[in-house]
This record gives sequence, structure tokens and C-alpha cells, in this order.
Amino acid sequence: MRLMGLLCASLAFFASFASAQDVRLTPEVASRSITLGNGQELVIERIQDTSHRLDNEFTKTSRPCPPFCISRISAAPGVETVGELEVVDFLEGSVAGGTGLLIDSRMPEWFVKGTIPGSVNVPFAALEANNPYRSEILKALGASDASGTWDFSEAKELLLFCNGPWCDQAPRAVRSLVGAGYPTGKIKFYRGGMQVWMLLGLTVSQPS
Amino acid sequence: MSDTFDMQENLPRILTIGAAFATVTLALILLQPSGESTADNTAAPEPDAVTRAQTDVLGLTEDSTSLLRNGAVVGKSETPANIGAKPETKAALVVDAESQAPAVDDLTATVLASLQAGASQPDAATTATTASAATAATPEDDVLRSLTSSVLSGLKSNSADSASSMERLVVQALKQGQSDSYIEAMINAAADAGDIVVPSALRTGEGNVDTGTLLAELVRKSDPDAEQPAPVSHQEGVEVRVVQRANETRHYNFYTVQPGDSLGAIAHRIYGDAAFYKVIFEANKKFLSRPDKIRVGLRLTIPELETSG
Repeated sequence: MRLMGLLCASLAFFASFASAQDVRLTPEVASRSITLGNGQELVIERIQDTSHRLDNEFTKTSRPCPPFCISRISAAPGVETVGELEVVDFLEGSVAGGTGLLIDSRMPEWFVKGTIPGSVNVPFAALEANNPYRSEILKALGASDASGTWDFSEAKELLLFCNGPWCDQAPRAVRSLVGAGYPTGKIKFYRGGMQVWMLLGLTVSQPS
Repeated sequence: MSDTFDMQENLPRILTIGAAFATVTLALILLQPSGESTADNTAAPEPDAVTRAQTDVLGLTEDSTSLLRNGAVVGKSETPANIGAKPETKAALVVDAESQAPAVDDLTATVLASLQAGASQPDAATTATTASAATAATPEDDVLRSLTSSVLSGLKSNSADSASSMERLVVQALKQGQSDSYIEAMINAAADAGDIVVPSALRTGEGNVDTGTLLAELVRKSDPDAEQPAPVSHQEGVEVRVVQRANETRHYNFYTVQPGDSLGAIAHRIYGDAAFYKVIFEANKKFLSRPDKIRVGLRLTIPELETSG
């Protein structure tokens, strides 16, 4: 009888322990809900299955370099490099407020497979100087060339990412933007990219 | 001891075998046709036969068709009346050169090409590299247009502001049934005012917007199932040189810029798709700072399209 009681107690203890072991973003925050300007509702949370493992592309350790080389922390002088929580902050602040864009710099075929919720796809190739239509994109980002020279005072804050620390596409896009005159103070870089985002079990969305 | 003995005993046999071998070899040298031709080749290398042909741009035809088959390019069968393409088939080439010393003509062609291209084509290797590099960028450029469109549509779904696009303006005007000259005036006015972005490939030598090509491209895009136009080689300004060597045939294609031409128009006429202007620009980069910097009378090197497969 005493043994039974002990067993029950220990079971209850483990059950309560398991339910308390939410996989949270931070000790204080379990998940973040963000409403974007266009009415889109985002929830950023982590996969709650503690035994979950990645089984996709992002488990690879040894992609050949070049081209998949380790990127530096800084994508360009003056461009801030951020982590996952800052990405969520950016979504909640700048993106929801309509002053910023979270940019997936990968090619569309990667974007459609899954991306960070709330991001828009601006592939690095579209920002290269050899794209004759790049100015259309710069304008869509809020820049203006009405006076003959580019004016970025109304341009949006951008946070760029790609597949991960071994992916040069976001740094390349950052360099292209800086080369086009985009102010470095308006550009941020999330170096972890999809690999680290997914490794932390963070929410991935399929663009519609 | 026994070795020496053996040698002496075998000597006549060895000599007999040696003589037989020498005879056979001699017979082979004297009678075999391959032996003759080898001797000929080393003695007098085949002269380079140089012909100027205004006929088909073989490489272009083949390669653009295979590009088509690969689905990289979709052309349209007919040039609409409103495109600036001139239908006169006055080939700007003459069949001559038979009398000229071939080597000199070959050299001249190369030198001319080099001068025109700012010494960019000193040898076949460089030409091949340039061409393949340019070609590699070409389907990419078509991709860039669609990439840009998809980016813009993605950005627009996120924001309310919609910058007026050149294509939209034109489509709007077409729907209103406006004339080509109206569209041309409207586009040029909008471009001058900075309201729209004009791709540099659509700037003519005179600095205007090449609305003819723009319209043709819009038609092409709206009718992607239409067939590819046959590459035009009988047109004014088109010049094809075929240089035949012992083991290869090389096509040197040139185009002399006509009044009203833009790089996009030239690409549209030659490759059937204005997006290929990049190929021409790349091949002539040494003397074209920007795609809109073409001048009437400029002789452009027109690379052959090559498929990577």
C-alpha cells in the first residue's frame, strides 16, 4: 500500500514535470503572437516534442565550400547581425508597424519549401547590380529616385536571412544593397538563417 | 659460352626476321594511304578557307531552338507591325573573299572584331569563353525579369504603395485602344518625368524608349505558346562571317546599329527575345559602358547562343 502511494506520487510528479517542461522561447515567454499590417496573424513558438530531431536538408554538416562557406558574423560594416529573438522583435516592431521587412534572400524554390513566418522573398539574385530591373525593387522597398539620385530616407528597414551560417546569399544581398546605396543603418542580418531557426524548433511557415 | 654459341647460331634467323620486318614496314609506308595524308598534312597545312555567307546563322538557329526545347526561351512566331523591325532584307554582306588571301582575310576579320570589341577577341579561346559566359547569364536574365516580377508582387501584397510600372502603363493604354504613337509619347514622357523605370536595354541610341520592342515583348509574353521566329540574318546591318579551318567552323556574327535600334530590339530580332540583350551587351562590354549606350553605326559582335547541355 505504501509502495503504491509512492508510485502514484512519483507518477504525478513526472506528469507535472513533463507538462511544465514547455519548450519556451525564453524563461519568461512561451510564444509570441504578432499581427502584421495586412491582418496576417503570426505565432512564433517552438516544437514541443522534446525528442524531435531534424531529418531534412538542414542536418547536413559538410556542404562543399566553395560555395557553401562559413560566413563572417558581420555581413558588411555598419550592418547589425542579430539572433532569433531579435528577428521576432523585428517582426513585432518594424514589420508589424509597416516600417520594416523581413527578407528571405534565398531563391523562390527554397522560399516555398518553408520560411520564417512574416518574411517576404527577395532573392539575392534580384538585388544584384546586373539585374536591369533592380531599381523597381529598390522603389518597392521605399527608395525614390525622383530627384535623379537615390533617396533612401523613406526606405524600409530590412532584416535579411538565408539558409544559415554556411550560406552566402543573405550577405551577398546585403552587399548588393549597400552597393546600391542602401543605408547600412537600415539593414540587419540574421546569420543563423533557416538552419539555426529550424534547429531551435521555431515555427516555419509555408508561403501561400 | 653457350650464349655466344646460341647467338652465332641464331644470327641468320635474326637477320631474316629483321629483313622481313623492314620489308613490311617499307611496303606499309609506300602503299598505305594514311601514311601519305600524314606526310601531306605536315608538309602543307590545309589552307584556311574563308567564305562570307549571308545565309543562315547556323549556330544561332540550332542553339536558340535547343534553348527553346529546353524551355528556357519562348518566342513568338511573328513580329507585329508595330515593332521597329525593318522588313527590308537587304543583306549588308557581299560574297567576296575568294580572291583574297585567306589568311589575311581571317586576320583582318579578327583584327576588325578586336578593334570593334576593344580588343576583346584575340583568339578562339577567349571568344568561346566570352560567349559561354554571356550565354550562361542569358537565361538567367529572363529569370531575373520574372524574379523581379515575383519579388514586386510579393512586396506589394505586403504594402499598399504601388509604383507605376512601365508594363502596366502600356497594357492599360493598349486596353484603351490607344495608338502606338500615343503609347510611345506617353512612355517617353513618363520616363522623362522619372515616373517609370525604363530598363536600359530599351533605350535607343537616341535616348528614347524603344516602345516597339516593349510592345512586341508584351505580346510575346501574353502568347507564350507562339512559335519562335526564325533568326533573321537577311536584315540590314546583319553580317555573318564563316571561317572554316581544318577541323572547325567558326561563325563571326556582327550587327551594325541602325537608327532607332536599342539593344533589346537587336536581341529581339536576332534571338527572338529582347531578354537576350545581355548576351550582346556582355560580348561588347569593352566599348559599351551601359546597355543604353549604343550608337548608330556601331558594329556589335553577336555571339552565338550555346546550350550548356
